[in-house]
Amino acid sequence: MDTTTQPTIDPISYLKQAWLREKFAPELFPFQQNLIFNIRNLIAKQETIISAKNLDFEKKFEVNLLQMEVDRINYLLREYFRIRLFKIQKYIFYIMKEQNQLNLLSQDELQFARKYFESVYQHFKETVTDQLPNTQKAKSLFEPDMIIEPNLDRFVFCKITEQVGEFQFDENENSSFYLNKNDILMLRYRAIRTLLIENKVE
Amino acid sequence: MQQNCPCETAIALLKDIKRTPTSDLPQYDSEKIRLIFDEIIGLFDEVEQSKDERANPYKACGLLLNHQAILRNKRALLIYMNERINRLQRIRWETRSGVIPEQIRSNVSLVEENFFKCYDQNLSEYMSRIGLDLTADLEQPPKNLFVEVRVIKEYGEFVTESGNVVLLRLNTRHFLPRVEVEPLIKQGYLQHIG
Repeated sequence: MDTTTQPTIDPISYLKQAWLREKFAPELFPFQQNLIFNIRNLIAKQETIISAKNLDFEKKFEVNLLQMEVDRINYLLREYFRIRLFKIQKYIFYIMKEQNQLNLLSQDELQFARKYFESVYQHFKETVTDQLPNTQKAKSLFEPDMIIEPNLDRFVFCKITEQVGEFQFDENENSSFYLNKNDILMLRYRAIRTLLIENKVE
Repeated sequence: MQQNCPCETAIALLKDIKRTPTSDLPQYDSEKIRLIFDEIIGLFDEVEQSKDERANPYKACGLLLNHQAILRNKRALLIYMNERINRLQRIRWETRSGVIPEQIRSNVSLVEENFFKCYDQNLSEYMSRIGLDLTADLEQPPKNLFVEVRVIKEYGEFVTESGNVVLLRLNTRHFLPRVEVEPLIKQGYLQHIG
């Protein structure tokens, strides 16, 4: 219909894929800086087109469709940010403790995470640890068994997108499976983690 | 006041909060919390006293038990606090406002109120930095541009983004853009039909 809608197809499926990954995987993935930037530019372009066409009564239907598309893409965008934010909140102690986790956040998320950590830490300090006896173990909030970590052993569904062939899951030396394209599996997240990073699985 | 079994109050505290549905925030149970802290102090005194007699296996056992009980109480307290602030956060997302609803106001402690304010500020700043209102459309992708609504609370004149003036009188029905309508539905002026 409109030539400007054509180029938006590819980034949108990338956004959808990024969103699904964040949604179903227990851990946080690197923030897709470029993707988000591109999409927001495209949305801005579409919105200027919409306001331009809005003045013409005969284009009402077309405007509605374009607006609808923008609304739905905005929803995807919001979901992506939201899911990441909830993950950051849930695993805040883990993220603050492990250096490599901080790299997965965008600059804005980092600022949020730091402030969030401060307020939660302060809250626990005031309500609990300040009134405890003055020993190191009692005062510490970073005890390993108390930090919530992403559960990499959670079961997930996945579909193989590229031919993999022989694949060994690292728990059992003996069990190796032959993975074909379009196979659908349900298994522990940890097992397919490397494949996910290599984009062979979704 | 030593209980028969250490950490009983802590378990009761956690059971209480587990029983209430996650959308509610029950009263801040200062009574039980005070008891737990008293218990911790009592246990700690016992630990301090019997520290020197560690060699004696009976005393060592008691020492270990008391020490573990302190840690368990601490853990329970942290779980309780964590659960409560999680619920407060959830309330912030659902009501989409930085104000604690009246019903819950009395259940929140002062420290929790501060946390809520801090969280609200942090979240609002983040959302304005990225330029997106993340609390919009929490449930599903928008299906319609326009929605049909009924006025359940008198509002009066309402100006839409496109410049149309709508008179929102009680019990009238209107067909309005979804984005305009959402905040009004949340505040209770309009009711979605169909």
